[in-house]
Amino acid sequence: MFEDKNKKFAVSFALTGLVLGLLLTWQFKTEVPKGDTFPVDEIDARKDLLKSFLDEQSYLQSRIVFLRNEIEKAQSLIESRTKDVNIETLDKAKRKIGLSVVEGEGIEIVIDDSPTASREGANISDALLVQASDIRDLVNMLNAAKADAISINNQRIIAQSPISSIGTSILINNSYISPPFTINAVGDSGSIMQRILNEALLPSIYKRSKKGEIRFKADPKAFLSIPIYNGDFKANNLNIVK
Amino acid sequence: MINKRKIYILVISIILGSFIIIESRSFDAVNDIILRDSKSDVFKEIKVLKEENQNLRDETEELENSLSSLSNQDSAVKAIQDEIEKYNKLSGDYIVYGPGISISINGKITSPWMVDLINELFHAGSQAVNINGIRITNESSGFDTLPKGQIYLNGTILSPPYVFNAIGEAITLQNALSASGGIFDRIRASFGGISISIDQKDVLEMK
Repeated sequence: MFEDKNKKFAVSFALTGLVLGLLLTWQFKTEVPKGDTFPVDEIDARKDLLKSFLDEQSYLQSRIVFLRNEIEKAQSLIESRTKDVNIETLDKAKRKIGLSVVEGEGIEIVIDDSPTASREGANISDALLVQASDIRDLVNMLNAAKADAISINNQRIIAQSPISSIGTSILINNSYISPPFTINAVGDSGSIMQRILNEALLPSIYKRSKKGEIRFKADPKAFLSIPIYNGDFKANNLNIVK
Repeated sequence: MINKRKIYILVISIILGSFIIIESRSFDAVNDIILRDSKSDVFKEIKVLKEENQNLRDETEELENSLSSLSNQDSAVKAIQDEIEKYNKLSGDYIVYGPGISISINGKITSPWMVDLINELFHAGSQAVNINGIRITNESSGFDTLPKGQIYLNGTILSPPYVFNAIGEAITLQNALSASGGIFDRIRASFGGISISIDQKDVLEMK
């Protein structure tokens, strides 16, 4: 009886030791990815620097759209004078890469931060802010619903458009955009709405929207106009197989 | 003897309880950090904007040159042909080749992470990207998740290993993706037991 008790004690002691060992290993194997801090005294410097970059960016983007329009006019003149150019082929290629305006029915999504949230400061709660990943999920879902063209705050989204965040700033086509984010998509509004209303496809957005952490709404629209892409194209590393 | 045992058990229980609490707090901390987006970095933000402004200045200069070449009929024809060729390279209608990287992910990941990885590839300067041979273009459908959890793209179910090819500056792409706290670290932290390999390629071909 006494030996049985000792055995049981030894076994339970060994088991406890094993569990302790496992927990210790688990604890020390857990790697926390490195994050950065956001010191308060950087905020003002950041604001000033950003403003100068963003002013230049807006000017350059509107200049690009202006130059593309001027080029189009000049190309039409050339076409009337020679048969060596095929503007139809050029237009077709432009449509494929987002360099033509797309109009038609579609849907408008508005997603915004919580009214109590601020994107500036030291104590920022991620849950109260729209994240770049929320916008990427929405754009992916719109593409899956076969939207013909998409824009965010009037910026045309193409396949190569990065939607990223650095801290609390959201960059689309590497340009800074601020909330509220208005996402327009031209396409079959019925099928797009069906997907948007499916909470299982956008679990994080619906969960936070229901808790009042972010604001989210989608409406069908009879007419929307999606502008041309106003960024740069790089193809210097691409060669066509002849 | 019994008293000693009771003390041992009490001490061990306290240690065990403390470890369980530390462990659970540590996991909460990890979950808070494994966000799909990177954390704040003022210098990175400025670097991205500076580079983008330079790209926009280059694009403006290129367009100004195109516009001036349209004033002469001979150079205009060449300028239009060059423009068509550039757009054709990007459209996905033609087979293209160039230097780049090939990434292989062995293990199951979910479609939001695929979206994120492709986003990072374009953000890092990729000029063409495909996944398991399917090129991502303006005409690609988005990633869908089927009821059994499979990932569906352009009418095809994607299965591991997921191979992402990207044409662009290979070193720049590799450095951007492999950075500490970058997309690879975040994928590894979210999916245990996954292996990710990356190779630089002198020539990649993409349909």
